[in-house]
Amino acid sequence: MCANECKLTAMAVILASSLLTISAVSNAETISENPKFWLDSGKQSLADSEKLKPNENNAKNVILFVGDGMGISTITAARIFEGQSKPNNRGGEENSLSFEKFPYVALSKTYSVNQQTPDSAPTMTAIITGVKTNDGELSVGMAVARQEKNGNVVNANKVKSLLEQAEENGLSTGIVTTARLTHATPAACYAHTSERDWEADADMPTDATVSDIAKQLINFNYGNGLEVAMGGGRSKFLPETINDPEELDKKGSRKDGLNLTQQWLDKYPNAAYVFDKMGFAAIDAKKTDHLLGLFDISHMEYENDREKDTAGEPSLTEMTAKAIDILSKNKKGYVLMVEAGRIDHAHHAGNAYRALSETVELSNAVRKALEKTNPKDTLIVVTADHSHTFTIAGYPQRGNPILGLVKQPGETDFAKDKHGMPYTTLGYANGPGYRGTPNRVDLTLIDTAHPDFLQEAAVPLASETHAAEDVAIFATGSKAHLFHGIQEESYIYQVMAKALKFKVGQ
Amino acid sequence: MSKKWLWFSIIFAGLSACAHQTSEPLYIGESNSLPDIAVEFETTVIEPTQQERHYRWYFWRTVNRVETQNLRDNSGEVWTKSVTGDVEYARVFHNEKQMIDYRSSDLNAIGTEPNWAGITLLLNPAIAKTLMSDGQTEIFGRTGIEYKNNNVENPVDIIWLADEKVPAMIQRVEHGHTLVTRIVTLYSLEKSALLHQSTANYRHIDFADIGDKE
Repeated sequence: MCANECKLTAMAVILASSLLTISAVSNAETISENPKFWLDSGKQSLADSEKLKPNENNAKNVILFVGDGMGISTITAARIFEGQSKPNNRGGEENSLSFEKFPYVALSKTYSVNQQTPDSAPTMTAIITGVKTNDGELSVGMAVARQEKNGNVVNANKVKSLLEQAEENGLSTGIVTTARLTHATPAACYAHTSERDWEADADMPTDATVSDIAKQLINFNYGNGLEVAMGGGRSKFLPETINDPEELDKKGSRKDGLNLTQQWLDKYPNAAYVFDKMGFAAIDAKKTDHLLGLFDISHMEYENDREKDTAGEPSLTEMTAKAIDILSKNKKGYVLMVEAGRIDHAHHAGNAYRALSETVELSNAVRKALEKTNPKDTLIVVTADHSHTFTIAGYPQRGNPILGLVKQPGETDFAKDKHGMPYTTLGYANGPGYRGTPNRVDLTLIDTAHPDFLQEAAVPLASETHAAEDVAIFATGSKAHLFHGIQEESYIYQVMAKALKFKVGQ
Repeated sequence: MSKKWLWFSIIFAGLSACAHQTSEPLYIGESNSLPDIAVEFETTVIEPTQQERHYRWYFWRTVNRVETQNLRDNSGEVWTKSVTGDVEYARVFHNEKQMIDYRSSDLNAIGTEPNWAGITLLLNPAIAKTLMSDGQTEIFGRTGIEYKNNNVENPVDIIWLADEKVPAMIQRVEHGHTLVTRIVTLYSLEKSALLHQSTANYRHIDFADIGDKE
């Protein structure tokens, strides 16, 4: 009986995937993608391009979006992933994420001073300070050795971040991330250290005189301090004697006894600290000048899992909107960095579904920022710090489910490898999804579009790695036209500083 | 995912066997009424062409927490269940005083769906459903009930201690080798004589951060 049920279920899966494919193809046909369609749409794109005029205005505001690990293959797959979820799509491939409609695009060379394939510390240092450095180091020059314990050496080699410059020029500043606020990408905005992992005092050697990253966030003394800091990483701010407010059986990780959330409240006027969605929703941007949001003990939940969070977490889009509401009170302007930090984590886990849904949420956050700003006085940049070994492979037919098995045009069965096994469109060059011993697993009956499906990997590694190819830079608004060609990653800072009329590096 | 289909097959095999036997299926009961225990197990791996290998390991269990320690390499695992039912996992490296923490969503992201009953009872519930009683035996002064399945390719035999809700012996044949796990010593948790290494001061690393440390 079970065997029959299994067969029936398998048939249902095959039938359902066939119907999906047929549906996508027939939708594509109703639009008539004939030669005239392509020539007309191309003509329209050309006309739009001819109308483009450089926006030479200086920027009052700069919003920098960083998709951590959002390589170009991730953007393409996320575009299709989102497109296939839309009604009346033509297969999904024709879709555009919000930032893909930006008028200016460039490529960014992501290598660090000492690594061909970088980690997030030197890459974000390059983006936000204009200076490339060594792997694992945050906003210090390359002369600093990794894990240099001497605070004087680190301080002597600090390189100034765009947020620090903004504060010195009277602008407001904000940092929003779905990773820990003390994680490499957000930390490069406000901290200077020889080791990205020194997030709290408990993470550091006892004889180090460098300040830990969480403490550097609270002690950020440029201008009138950070106005907005939202993300995860609560344990790095709470002492080990205090229970976490959400996960009551866990405690803070600080050994120095400091409650940095209280220090934030003590330091700033009209300050607020929130740790859950209800507290976040209650924040009145008009009455709050300095907002610290720590919504998880570690990284915030993936967008896919956010609804299941115990205390509730705001989305990246909601945090972005709230940040802009607070920062835009400053008539001189603001600099806001928004990171979709968990694209990277999902890729490391070899889980394409979550990487793509995180990317779509980043696109949503960018769309919200576009709604709330004016391109005449705001530069919006969307980029990635580095790529991943994520690939879109095979010859799937138009409209083939992006998370599905490859089925080629005109075929009724899935494409097969040399051993007669089907394979997915999406995969990784390395990572935990390796299933090669002794042969690949037969995926015919597997729901490869399930959020928990682990894409296959060619080389077995406990965690999938970053990749070294260039990443994209998308820009719109003031001075956005300066993004063109293939640039060093550090060039991003140059354009942002230029737009804000800051002297570079000062 | 493929394991699910395998389990369906095993269940089917078990149900077929049921029609020919009068013995009783294994009743595990509710997982929220588990006795707190501390156990030392020995696992023996028997392969046709190799010498037997023996591994000693500890097992501590409360209703919402399971910890193991492999005495060979001094590593272990911790499984915890939150009040909301989320299951979290940690790999423990005692020599390095480090733990790698996997949150519930991390486990999902790598395609793992932890089954709390299976973790606490050391018995895959799908396999447990295929087991039928096959006699009794005395072990540690207690009555153990023997169970087995009728799967010729992957036979499973266990001796179940109903009061402690733990197997005193599990014997499985898989991929041409036999795995036998037996209790060496068994305590109630409060009277345990097993050396338990505190992990209170260990460094915690998020699984999500491992990718940046490869």
